[in-house]
Parts: sequence; structure tokens; C-alpha cells
Amino acid sequence: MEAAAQEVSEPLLQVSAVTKRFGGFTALDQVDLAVAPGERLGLIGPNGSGKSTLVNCIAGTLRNDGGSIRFKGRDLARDPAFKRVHLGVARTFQIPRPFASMSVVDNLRIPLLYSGGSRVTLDTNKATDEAMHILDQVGLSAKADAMSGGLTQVDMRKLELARAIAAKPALLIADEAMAGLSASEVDDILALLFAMKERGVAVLMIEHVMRAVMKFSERIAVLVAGRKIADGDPQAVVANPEVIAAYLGQ
Amino acid sequence: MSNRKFAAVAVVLALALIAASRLVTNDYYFSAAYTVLQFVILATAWNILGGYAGYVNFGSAAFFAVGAYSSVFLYKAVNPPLIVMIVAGALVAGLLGLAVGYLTLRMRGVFFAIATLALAVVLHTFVVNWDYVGGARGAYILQPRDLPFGLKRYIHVLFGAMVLMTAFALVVARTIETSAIGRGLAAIRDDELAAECAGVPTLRLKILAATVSGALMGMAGTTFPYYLSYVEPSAAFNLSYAVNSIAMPLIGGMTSWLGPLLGAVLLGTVQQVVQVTVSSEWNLLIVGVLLVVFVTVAPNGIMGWIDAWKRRRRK
Repeated sequence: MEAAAQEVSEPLLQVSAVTKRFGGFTALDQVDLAVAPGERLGLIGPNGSGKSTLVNCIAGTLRNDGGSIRFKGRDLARDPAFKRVHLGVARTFQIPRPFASMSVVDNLRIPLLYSGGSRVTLDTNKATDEAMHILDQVGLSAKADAMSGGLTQVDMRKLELARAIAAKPALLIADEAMAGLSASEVDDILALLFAMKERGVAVLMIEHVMRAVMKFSERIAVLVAGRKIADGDPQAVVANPEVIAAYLGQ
Repeated sequence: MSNRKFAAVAVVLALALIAASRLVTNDYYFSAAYTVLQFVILATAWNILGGYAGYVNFGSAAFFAVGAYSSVFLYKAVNPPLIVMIVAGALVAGLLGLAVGYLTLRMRGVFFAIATLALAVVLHTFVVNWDYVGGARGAYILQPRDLPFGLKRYIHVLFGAMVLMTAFALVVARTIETSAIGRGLAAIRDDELAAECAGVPTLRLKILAATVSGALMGMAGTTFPYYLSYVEPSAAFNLSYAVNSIAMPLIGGMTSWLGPLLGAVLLGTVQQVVQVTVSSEWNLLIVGVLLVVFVTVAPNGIMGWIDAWKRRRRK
């Protein structure tokens, strides 16, 4: 089901035969996945299917036991997580992890300072302007000076996204950015992710909220029990009998 | 204030303090001030790793003793000038800090604290069995007879050295705190994984913090053999160094360089006063009581209290 166009142009991210084992349990089994520059890819699968493990392997917070992960043609095997962020892979966390002792705007200074490409110096107006601009986009500018630890769930999700955007990624991995949010909140976050397209940023969306995934994705990949069972056009994928069986049981 | 300006102010204040001390005739005050300043350095140094990065080092005594014993070793081997001992002790303790920095790779929280405590025990045992530096008997160190700058007693030299070292430690701590490194360390303290995923080279920063912290603690110990004229392992590895260098930043506030300074001056002075007026046995009890009070009443220390008060006023 691999889209033909993918094989012609060089993908931004190329995951090849990635395997990850935890003791005797194989969380990822020979998973292949490609993301083209600027593409919007949805990754779905039941709980425990290995979605987050795959994200962790791509982001470098877990090391894959087999296979390779290439980004912009570079093998990431030796790169620690922070280096991958510098290269252009940014992620959000399923459970928000704000820098709780810092204000919202200071949260953004960290990626701006450390992975903003052209390194911005500390506390300059430029850094503040940039941070405020991003907060504007995610709708958090009114809370710029609030302590990030006291934000509401939806605001923390937005902060997660803002922090990832501040790292100026070429690939943004949104790990269940919408779980537990109301319909209008989901729309807020979706609009934000759509806006990434204009920046030429590819988005890998891991999501359980099917409405969001279907609306957002140009392509959907399905993981079940650590294996990719489908990959292609969203409508075709959700009509795939194997996918239906995996979700509803047989 | 820029860091360069701060450094200039710190040096000027240090020199002024040294000059003003010439008016003091009672040598006890030099001895007491020396001890308080020594704790200012220990607290400031501890805070670089413990306060900024959130890695609680329970082995401050090990770093302090490494500084002290490197001086003892140099005294026995070549007897170089004091400044050489200070630099050498700081370097050796810095190397130990580097090793501790690599520990953070696999350990955090209480496990890291226990590992650093174990490090102190191991080094203590090592020194007890190292005959060249006196072993369990301890070593006698003679203070030099020739004093520079027309000073009358050697404690005046030690006091001057300690004042300058304190200024140096404060400048280093403030420079780290206000730089990108300080921001990175604060991110590590809040959430190490999130920091790494925001592009912060966490391991590199932790190793740097541990090395600088260790070097400064060692530096504080280098003049200790001259101060007492006699060093034994149980004095150099005393648990009170570990306890005080944690308690003082906790009481003062751990997020800025001013916190450890305030905490150490407050707690160190109270300890000195009590030692003279009541008894030296009371020292650790006072630390304990103050800790309990601060942890319950002002968990972010004096500085946290001041910050909260400022915020309330602004509103």
C-alpha cells in the first residue's frame, strides 16, 4: 500500500525495519515508515500497539534494537535525543511535561536557546518576540507570564506544541495531543497543526481521536501489536478488513 | 547587572573586606569568619549541581576532603606556595566531580544521593589507609613563618584567601545561573526528559555542573590543613560538611546564587555564636531545627519567601 510517490522523492524520515524489544516482549517488529517533507501522516493503532515506542525510537529517548532510522538522509543511530532535536525532529509528550518552575514564555526560551537553528542569545528582545509570536499562534499569549505548572490541561497541550514549534522542526511528532479534549479544543489544536503545513513542517500525528486523524491526515499508517498492518489513503485504510478486525476484534 | 560588572564588584568588595579586617584586633573573629566563608563556598558550590540542576549531592565532605588532602600531599611532597595548593586541590576535586557527573547518566534522585554518600565513605577509607598523608593518625601541617603584605598572623592570610575564593565562587555560580547553561540546568531540574527533547544537551550540562561544583568544594578545603595545623580523616570527611552544604541552600533558597550565600551566612553565624555562647554540640541540632522550620514554613527558602512577597506587592 506504500504510496508510489514516496519511493521516488527522498523521504524526510525513513524508518526501516525498526525492532524494539523490552525483555522478551517485542514492542516493535520490523516496522517501516516514511514521511515526506511537509507531509501530514496519521499513525493509529489500539493501546499497546507500539505507537509511543516508535515515537520514542524516532526521537531518541529509546534506542531501537534493530533496523535503522534516517532523517534527511542521515542515520540517527548514534545521535542522542537532543541532537535529533537540533537536526529537526521535535516531539510533544502524551502527558504534558512543562518546565513547571518557569513561566509559559520561559518554557519556550529553552528550545529557542538550544535548538533554534540560528542560536538566539539569552533574553534578547528577539528571543522574546519569537516566543511571543509562537504563543500567539497557539493562543497562549495572554498567559505568557503565568507559571506553566498551573495551566489547565488544554493549555498544557498547547504549551507542549508551542515548545515543539519553538525548536524549529522539519518534522513535528504530536503524540496524542488531543486525548481527553473537548470537540472545540480538538479543533483548536487541529488548526494549529494544519498551520504547520504552511511552514513546510511535516507532522506525524499519533492519535486516538478518529475524527481528528481522518480530517488531518493525507495518509494513515496502522500499527497493531508492534507491526504495521496498513499504510495509505485514509479512507482506504479505515475500510481495510484487517484494520477493522484489529480495532473491533473478530 | 552584567556578569563582568558583578565580578568587578565582588572583587572590590572582597578587597574592601580584607582591608577593613585590618582594624579587627581579636583573632577569634578571623577564625569565625573563615569558617562562615568556607560554608558560603560549600553551599554555593553544592547549589550549582543540587539547586540549579536538582541533583542532590550528599558527598560534599568527600570533595572538601579531597581538597584538604591534596594540600596535605603537596605539603609533604614539595611544600609549594598556598596558591598552588588551592589551584591543585580545585583541579583534583573537579576531576572527582567529573566522575560524579557521569554517575548522573544512570542515577537520579535518592539513588544519586546515596551513591555520592558512598563515594565519601570509600574515599574516607582510602585516606585512612594512606600512610603518606598520615592515615588514621592524621597529619601535622606547619603554617609558614614568612607572611606576605605585612600581615601579623597566618589566620589573616587564610582569611584573605577565603574572602577571595568566596568572591570567585559567587561569580562562577552567578555566571552559570544567568547564562544559557543556567537555563538548561533549570530545565533539567524541572523535567530532564523534556529538556533533552527541547534540545538541551543534558548529559554535557550535568557533567559541567558536577565538575564545577566539585572543584569549588575542593577549593574550599585546600586551606583547611593550614587552618587547623592538623588534619585527620574524620575532621576532613565530617558529615557536618555534607549536611550544612545541603541545609544552607535549602534555607536560603536554591534557585539563585544569593540563596546559598544568605543561608550560609545565617546558619554559619548562628552556629559560630552558639559554639561560643552555648556549646559546640548544639550545632547540628540547630541545623536540624532550622531545616524543619524552613521546609514547613518556607519550602523555597528565604529567597522564595522574598519572591512571593514581591509578587504579592506587585498585585
